Amino acid sequence: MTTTTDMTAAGTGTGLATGPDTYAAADPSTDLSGAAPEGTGFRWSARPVTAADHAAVLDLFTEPDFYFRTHRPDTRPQWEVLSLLDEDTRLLSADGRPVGLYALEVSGGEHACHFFLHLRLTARLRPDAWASAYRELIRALRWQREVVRLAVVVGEFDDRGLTAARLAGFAEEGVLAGNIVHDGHRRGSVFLSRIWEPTS
Amino acid sequence: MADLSLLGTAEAAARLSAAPQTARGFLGLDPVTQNAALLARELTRTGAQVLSADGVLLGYAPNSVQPRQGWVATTSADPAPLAALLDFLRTYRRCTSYVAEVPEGAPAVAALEACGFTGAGRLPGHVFHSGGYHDVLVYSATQEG
Amino acid sequence: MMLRGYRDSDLPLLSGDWLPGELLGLPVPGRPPLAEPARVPAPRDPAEDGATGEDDELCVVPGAGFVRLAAVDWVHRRARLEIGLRPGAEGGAEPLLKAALDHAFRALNLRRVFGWVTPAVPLPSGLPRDALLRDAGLAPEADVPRALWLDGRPVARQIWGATRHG
Repeated sequence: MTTTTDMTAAGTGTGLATGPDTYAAADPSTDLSGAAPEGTGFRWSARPVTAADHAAVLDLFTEPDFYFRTHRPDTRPQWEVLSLLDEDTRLLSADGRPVGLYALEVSGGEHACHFFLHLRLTARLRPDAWASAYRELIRALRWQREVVRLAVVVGEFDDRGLTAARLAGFAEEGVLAGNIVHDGHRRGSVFLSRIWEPTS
Repeated sequence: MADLSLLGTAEAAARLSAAPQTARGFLGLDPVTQNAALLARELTRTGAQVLSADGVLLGYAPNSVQPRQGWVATTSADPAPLAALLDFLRTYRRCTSYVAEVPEGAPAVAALEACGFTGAGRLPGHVFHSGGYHDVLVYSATQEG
Repeated sequence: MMLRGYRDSDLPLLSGDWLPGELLGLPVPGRPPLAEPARVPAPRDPAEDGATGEDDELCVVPGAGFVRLAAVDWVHRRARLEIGLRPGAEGGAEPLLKAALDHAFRALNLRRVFGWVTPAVPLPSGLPRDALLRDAGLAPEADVPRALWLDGRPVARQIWGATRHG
């Protein structure tokens, strides 16, 4: 498990669709995430993980780079994989097929509007699909909560994870050096975030 | 500016119990009919904080669906302690709007109005006390920031 | 419309795409698919705010939705009403609202029912919310600015209520 730190970031994110007290549903101009890139028009859905989903979840953890709350996914035993799931963990599906997991943690006080996100998709999907999932998740989160800071932590060696986070607009904040042993070497964790100006 | 001190839940419940008449309707509580244990349970359930300033009790509870909004209460008609609470919430919790529900005729009305709150509505017959049903007034205030 | 007491098998009815605590909760048009669904606690299941659900009256219309009278208070004889309807069950809004108020006043003998309404969000299928609420005997009582975070900004909510004298 990683702890969140409060490093500063340069990114300021997108402007907000503020306006009169009317609700512009399904108007693409108010889509806070921007348009999805070509070829990633998945229909995303999510649900809490139930016992019936455990087989699908265990299947995801057979991928050697399914770094969801662990740096050694494929060698974790069943009990340990299941212990990584909590009540805030969601099974993410693309067009109805399970493709990954995510969990959102409140970071600091509720009023701070700082969040920490764990998100991992199967290696079967390309990084742009992953970035599309990030964006859709951010749009959903900002729809129902004020978000000032959203942070993710990705291993230095995790090329897919870094590519996806950068594609989704996360700005690099710094590296916590040498805290993970990967492939015989001590490697670091990259902290990335998106930050929005408080609007109220 | 009045000096604020934060009270622990048990002490808050005891202080509310000790002043039951002025604290009726404080954050929806009723120290006349609820004992200290019940008051403490309600304060815990709603995530409320009780503060004191110059002998006046002040209350704050977060709006769980809008973290920038706070529900506030005071036991006094004096605006100074309430103003100190609002300043505290703005500075430390970044609240930008406040709501209060007070029984009609409560001393808090004078403090709220002096602190810029305006009437947001009236809940008819919302509370029963002293042998009859009474209206509850809703006040709100917003600040830019 | 007949209400039935909640069963464990009704659990899927307790979460959905309405706004949290909304008096007349219907799927919100344009809601992002990954937005966390609103939930009400099953009885004896602690809610996010720590309420145990034991002071709630929770009924369902099988397959269509639920009616929750939250925090029933027998001293003040009041409860906060929230209704949640599944997609496709919008047509049941009017009879369900009436059944809920009827249950509150005639079965529970409450004196007052109230709830949150978010005017900025239209009901699906062009349902006329104000007319539905007024026909059921409810009236707007308070306007609370910035009471709910929605779609990137705080929006106002109203408190609507109905009081039965006697």
